[in-house]
Amino acid sequence: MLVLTRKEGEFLLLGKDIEVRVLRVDGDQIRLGIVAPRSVNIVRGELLNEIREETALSAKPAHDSLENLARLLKGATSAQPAALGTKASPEPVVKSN
Amino acid sequence: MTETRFFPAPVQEKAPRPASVRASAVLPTRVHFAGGLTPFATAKNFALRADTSVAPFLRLVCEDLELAFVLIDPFSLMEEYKPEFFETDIEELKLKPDDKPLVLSIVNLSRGVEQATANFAGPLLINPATGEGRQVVLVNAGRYSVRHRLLQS
Repeated sequence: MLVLTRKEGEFLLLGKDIEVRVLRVDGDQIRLGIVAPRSVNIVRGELLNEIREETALSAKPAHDSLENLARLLKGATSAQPAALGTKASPEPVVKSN
Repeated sequence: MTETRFFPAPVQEKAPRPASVRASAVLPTRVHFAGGLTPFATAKNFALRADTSVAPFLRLVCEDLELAFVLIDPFSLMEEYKPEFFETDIEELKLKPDDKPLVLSIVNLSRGVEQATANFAGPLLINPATGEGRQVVLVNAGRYSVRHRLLQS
């Protein structure tokens, strides 16, 4: 791992077009400003970990639990006018910078 | 590719949607995740099963590893769900602006049926025409839960 020390207002350039700037340091919080092309996904690390963990926990579900849940969900929503699974998916929304 | 009809038609909705939005989606029977399915990097080939006995859930059964997932259409649980996708994910799946991708949430039953949740922040994005899919993180992931409760307590 490359380790660098930066001060407030200083920045790093990753490749040709990704800029990471230290905007403010306040106690244990660091505010970063990132300038990157739209093609670069910027994701919080802990969110990625959470999704990874959640996916691991979701693998190999028990079939009888699923049947129970399907029954419960149908019961819980039967009073609502719109049936489950009848909503159309929208167009993909592309990130706007 | 053989396809299974997913949603029953016709669709009755309170507010009319634009004509360009499909009334019934077509499900691919197989989905390929080139990048695997985090944290299972080698889990790439899956069968997608719409079994009426467990409707509205779908089953995603891995053909590479002993692995299966339960999926649900997040729009059926949250009408105002508006996922925004990163351009790289859209490009990777060769989705064009007029395409209607399939968005499905992985259901977590591990905490018990009553505590079942669906991942709204990191759903599966699938190109129904090619059967290519990716687990993505939404641009607006902060607005949605990784553990969206299915049943209100």
